[in-house]
Order: sequence, then C-alpha cells, then structure tokens
Amino acid sequence: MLSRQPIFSIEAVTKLDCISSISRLKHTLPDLPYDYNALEPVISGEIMKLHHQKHHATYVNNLNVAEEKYKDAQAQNDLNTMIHLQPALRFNGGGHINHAIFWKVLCPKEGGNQPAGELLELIKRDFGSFDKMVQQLSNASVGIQGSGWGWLGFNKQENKLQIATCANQDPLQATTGSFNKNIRIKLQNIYRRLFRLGLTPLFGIDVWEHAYYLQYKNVRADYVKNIFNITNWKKVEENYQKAKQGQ
Amino acid sequence: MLISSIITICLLICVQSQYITLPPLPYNYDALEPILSEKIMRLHHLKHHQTYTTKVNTAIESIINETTDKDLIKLMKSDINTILTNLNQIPQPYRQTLRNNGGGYINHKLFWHLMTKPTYINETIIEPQPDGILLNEINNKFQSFTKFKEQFTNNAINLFGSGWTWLMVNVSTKELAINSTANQDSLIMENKYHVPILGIDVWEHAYYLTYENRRNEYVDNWFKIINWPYVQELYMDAIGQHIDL
Repeated sequence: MLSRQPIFSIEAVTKLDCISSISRLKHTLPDLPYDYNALEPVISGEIMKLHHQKHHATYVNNLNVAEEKYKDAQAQNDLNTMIHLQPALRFNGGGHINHAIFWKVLCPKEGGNQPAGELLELIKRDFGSFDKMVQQLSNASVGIQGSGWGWLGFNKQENKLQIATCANQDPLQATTGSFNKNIRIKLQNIYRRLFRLGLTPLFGIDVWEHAYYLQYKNVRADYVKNIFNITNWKKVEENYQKAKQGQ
Repeated sequence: MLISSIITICLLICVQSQYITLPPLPYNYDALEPILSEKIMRLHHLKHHQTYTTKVNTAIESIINETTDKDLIKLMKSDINTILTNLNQIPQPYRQTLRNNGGGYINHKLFWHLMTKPTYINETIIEPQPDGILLNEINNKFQSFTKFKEQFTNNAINLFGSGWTWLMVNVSTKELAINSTANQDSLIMENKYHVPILGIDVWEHAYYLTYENRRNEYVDNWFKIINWPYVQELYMDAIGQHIDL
C-alpha cells in the first residue's frame, strides 16, 4: 500500500476551504530501505539518487497535482476534465506504484541471491527451473520497445506465476485485468465482480533508459543480467505470500 | 562477453547484405557542443542508430531467405520508406522488428540533418529562427514563432515514455501541424501523407548523459541548434515548391 500523509500547511489552514484541504491525503515519496550507493557496483549511487530524488519524486508530485484537479473536476461534474486527466493519473500513479515496489525488491549484493521455500518450488513448477525463469524475464525485459517494465507476477485466479511486460509506467495489476461480463451481478458487489484486477507484481525490472543509461549506456542486456545479483528474494517471497492471501 | 558481442556485430556488418547503411553525420561528433555533447552524439549514432541499421538488414535478409514470394522479395529490396508504408505485407514474425528498427533508422537519418553547429554572437549562443515562406506559414498556423515553440515544447515535454515530437506537413492539404509518435514509430506509418520537416528525439538516450531528467532543459537548448535552412528545404519539397539551396 502506498503511504499518504495529511497536509497541514499554514497556507491550507488560513484558506476558507481548509477543512476540505486537510481531508485530502497526499502521496509521499517513500525512503529507500538502504543508502544510495548500497547497490553498487550493479547500480551506481548516482543513478539511484537521480532515480529516487528526481524521477520518482516527480511522479509523486505530478500524481498529487492530477488527483487534486480530478477531485475538483469530479465535484463540479466536469466529465471532460476528468477524462482529460486520466492519462496523467495512469502515468504518474503507475510511476509511483512501480517505483515504490522496485526499491523494496532490490537489496545490496550478498552473493548467491536465490529464492527459497514455496516461491522457489512455484518457480520450478511454472518455469522448469530458476534459471529458465531468469532467462524468460530477462528476454522479455530486454525486448521491451522504448520504455517499460518487466515483471514476475502472480496470477491469483489461476494460482500460477507469470512473466509480463508493461509499457511506460502502466502498473501491472491495473493493466493486466479483465472485464468480467457477468450478467448476474448483485449491486453491492458490482465493482468487485466487474473489474478483476490482474497479475500481482512480485518482482520487477525498470527498463526505462533513466534506470541504467549513465552506467550501462545502450547495453540494457548487461543491466538486466546484473540486476539478478541484487534481487531481494526475501521481499519477493513476502510479496508472493501476501498475493496468495489476497492482499 | 562484451568483446564477443562487438565481434559478432562487426561480423554481421561485414558479412550481412547491406540493404540500408548507417549514414554519416553531416558534421563532426563534437559539432553540436555544448548543447549535445560528443559523448552523446557518438553513442547515439554509433550504437543506437547502428543497432537499428543492423537489425533492419538482418530482418530483410531473413525475410528474403525464407520466402519464394516474388512480390515480397521485390518489396524487401525497395527503399526503406516503401517497406515502412507497407508493413501489413511483411510476414507477422518480422513486422514489429521492422516497425521498431526501420522507424528508428529513418527517424535518426532525418534527425542528424535537422541540427547544425550553434552560432555565437559575443560568446552567447543565438537561437536561430526560420524565415521566408516557412515563417509566414508558422505565423499563420500558430500566431507566432514563440507560440509555435511553446506548443512544440509542451508536446515534447508531456510525451509519456519514449518517442518523437514532430512538426509535419500534411502533403494533401499542405498544412503544418505538431504531432508525436511513440517509440520509434515514424509519421509515414500512420499516414503516408504526413511528412516530417522538424523532429526532436525525446528518448532518454538522446539527452540523459547531459540533462538527466531535465527534458525541458534539453528541448529548450535544442532550439539553439535547429538547422532551419534544411527544414525550409523539406517544407518547400513537401508543398511541391522545391528550391535548390
């Protein structure tokens, strides 16, 4: 879940609509769980600083701005503006979701980083072996045209792991779902049954050029290969357990 | 690993048939400094543009070797623009790679010529401007050059992900328009009447080493190296009034 904090600025309190301002919770930039240079030599401190303090921060700021405008438009029944804002919500919201996951599924290189336990068994079952899963995820990530993400995801409906790619900042869960045309819908369950969310993200690789260019230049394949040395498989296992329990 | 990749690419370049070739830059690699560094230009041309070129040649070679369809072979041996406006005739397994790499090839081939060495007056770089018929048309369509620059810049900054922002001529109506394409799509892929006369690459590789996340700074500075005489020539060609410079 993304963390939010209420706004308590002097500016907000002195405005006539201060009560409604205070009730609007804003997204905030989460801290990295390690120092900026902790992922060296795989990802440089320079890249981590820019990636976190500039790119992710911009998604958070722009998401807050877009949400604020969306709420205002909604309050005024301004459907045109609401529709106009949707690409910005998708892009910046997706950017925030994706990066909040990304920082947590990476960790300093400890050597021999491999999954264990139930997740490893599932990987072997669904891909044949850990190496085959790495190969597939690597190929998918390297092959993305332009900007995007490669994901190891969990399909809750079919109880299996799946590899998927998303373009730009499209978030995995929201954009791999399906519309269920079940005509026997009870009104109170209408939202849940209509929109089945897609794959739950377990581990992802950001292949936007900003994620690696300063260090790897055009050689995305080397960056993708090396990122498996800093995968936090404990966290990925945690993500899987939560996904299994429907969280 | 790196050495074997370099050797493989070199062999591919030497051994494979050259249906298209990497065009040279019309200037030295450091000519666009300080706006675009030599480092960026070398990587952009010798790595990115070369990779698009190599992959197009590989795809064309494979298609020709795998078919006996004479019409398809004829298409694959025609110029790259013809291939890219007939992507629906390309065998499915190769369509996306030709779209991506063919588009990358022609976009960059044009891009190099749209830029030129910056001009200085008293150690300050002067932002060049169009003149003549093109300026008149820009004023007609966008009210002023400043407003055109603003609209073009907004389009480039707000393009989500990777892509290009273009100033194009619709050759059937002769009208100017600002447009964008995602990834390495070219304007002619969506409409063969859309001719680009100016374009900026907003893939991060085009600017990141100097400008990092500051795409707005890149776009603003890029206006200082636009080769307006070349753009004008493209415009005159597009509206059917070619003038030899």
